[in-house]
Amino acid sequence: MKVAFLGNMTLELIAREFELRSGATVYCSGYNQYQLEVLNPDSKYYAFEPDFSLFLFDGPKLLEGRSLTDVKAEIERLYEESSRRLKHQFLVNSLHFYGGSAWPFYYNTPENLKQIQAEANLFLNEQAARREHFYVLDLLSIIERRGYENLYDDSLWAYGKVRFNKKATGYIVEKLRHLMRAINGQAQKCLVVDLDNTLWGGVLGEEGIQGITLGLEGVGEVYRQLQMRLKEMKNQGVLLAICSKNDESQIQEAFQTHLHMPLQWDDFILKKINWLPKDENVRAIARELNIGEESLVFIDDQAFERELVKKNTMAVVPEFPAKPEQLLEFIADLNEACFAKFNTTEDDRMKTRQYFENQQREVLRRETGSVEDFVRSLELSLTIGQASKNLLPRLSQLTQKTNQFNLTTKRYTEPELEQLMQNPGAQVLWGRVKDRLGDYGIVLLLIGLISEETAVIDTFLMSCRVIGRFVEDEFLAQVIEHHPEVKHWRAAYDRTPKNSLVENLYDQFGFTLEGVENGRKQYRLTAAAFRGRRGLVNAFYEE
Amino acid sequence: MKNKIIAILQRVLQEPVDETTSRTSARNWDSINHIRIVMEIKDELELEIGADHIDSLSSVGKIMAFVEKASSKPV
Repeated sequence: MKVAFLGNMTLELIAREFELRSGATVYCSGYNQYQLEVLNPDSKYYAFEPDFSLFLFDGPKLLEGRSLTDVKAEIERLYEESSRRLKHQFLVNSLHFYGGSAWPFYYNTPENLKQIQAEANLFLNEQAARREHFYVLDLLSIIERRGYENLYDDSLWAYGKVRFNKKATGYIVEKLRHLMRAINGQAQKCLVVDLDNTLWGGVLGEEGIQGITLGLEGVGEVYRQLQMRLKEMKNQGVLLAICSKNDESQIQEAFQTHLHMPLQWDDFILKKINWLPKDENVRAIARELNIGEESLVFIDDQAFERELVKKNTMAVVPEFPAKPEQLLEFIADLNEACFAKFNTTEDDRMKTRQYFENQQREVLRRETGSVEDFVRSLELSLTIGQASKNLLPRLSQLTQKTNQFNLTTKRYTEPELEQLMQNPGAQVLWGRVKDRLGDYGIVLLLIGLISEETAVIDTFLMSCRVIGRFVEDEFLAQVIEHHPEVKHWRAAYDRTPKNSLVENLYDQFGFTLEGVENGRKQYRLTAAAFRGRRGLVNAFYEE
Repeated sequence: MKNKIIAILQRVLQEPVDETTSRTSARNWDSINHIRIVMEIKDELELEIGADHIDSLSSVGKIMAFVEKASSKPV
């Protein structure tokens, strides 16, 4: 593998680091010699006959004394000239423009560096999409992640036009290696995953299916997102396999019945769920898929299992993050390092472009359609019912944790709720929301105290999971409808630092403002005066 | 500290290094390796080295003197 480094900065340090880490043969062009090297047919660059040419540019220096139009033309020329004489892959970095004295807040001027940066990188992406063997090395993603203050060395730049410090050099070399693997089609083929404390928190055999940490909140949501990423990877062509010490029928049941499990049993091409040593299972997976062991990537939260598989098989075994919240970054990095690939055939390239064009059409359609159409397309359904003892934990939790869509922010413990329910006039009503994509669970709560023909709404709240789903109007409308005995409704809004969202909610629903005192807005309503019901939700009221 | 500096130089220059080693005495201490040495020292010792000081770090002794002054710790 022969790799040439050219650009408008001192590149020897990067070239040398790359040489050390990859074992490739490198050629490093002299400082700022890239134009001469490419235009001169007798240059050392052409004599080297590289398989890969990497052009690394400092943005401001590239732009110095000329326009972006000139820079674009130059890059196209570099590609065309070099590709006429070489059978190579042309790589160029995404450009970072920094410094500059133009007023930073005027985005819409041609001199603004952010504008230039966006335009330049859009251009590079278009070139990469249109042209064979043209690829962008995403330097900008490194800068986003690490910050250029941590990457650029100003004294080395001043001294010898060395832009990057030691750490930055390492990140760039790593990314270059990943990109080259992807271009060469050297991706791994199969991701072998453990289950307990890998796809969900906890041990299913001990906690039971409902006891594992996997859901819509907290750490459970992290595991859920992780599964969704794995599903995306599977859709991109990565094979998924399970290797877990568990009872197979219980695991199958978990995939079928758990409410928040994005991955399905059939997403996995092989399932080794048994009590055999994991290195045996991994070797069996490679054999049954008829691929080399080195095409497998094995992830497991337990060091013991990782060591065993690393020692006794050729599978790639990365370290596992110490904390579950690190899992999403871990899987993104793993995907880039092991599974990234490009489609190289003409057909595939066309398919990719068609896919992207369709995506853009979708986005456009969704943006121009009405919000109501979108909400209707979700097929929301709302179930309303009276509180029962087994729901107290969830209802109490809702009063404790809901801050934004909460009209009076009254906090209730379970015993307090239970006691309140003893009150003959008390109505504790919950709302549960589902849509086409999933079940949000119990997300609405209304506590009313009825005395003679008047009802006071003590509590009305909604979980932020369903804010913007337009369900609150249907909920309230249904509650009022199902209490025809109530002639007068009274409600209040108590302002807090967090609930300004609902400051005018009751006004929107046709309630009459009676008075304002100490941040409390007092309202009343007769049933007939209720308005603002949008009818976007199917509701079922359980008597 | 002294050992760290010598280790860095040995790693970069790929030749034996001791307290007396200088840019003129070492075989592989060219301009690129000079920059590499400075880069490694900045990273490992977490030191700022101004552009106008870089040239002067042309021997183990001078590097040690600089590091001692910069970190106010005896080397």
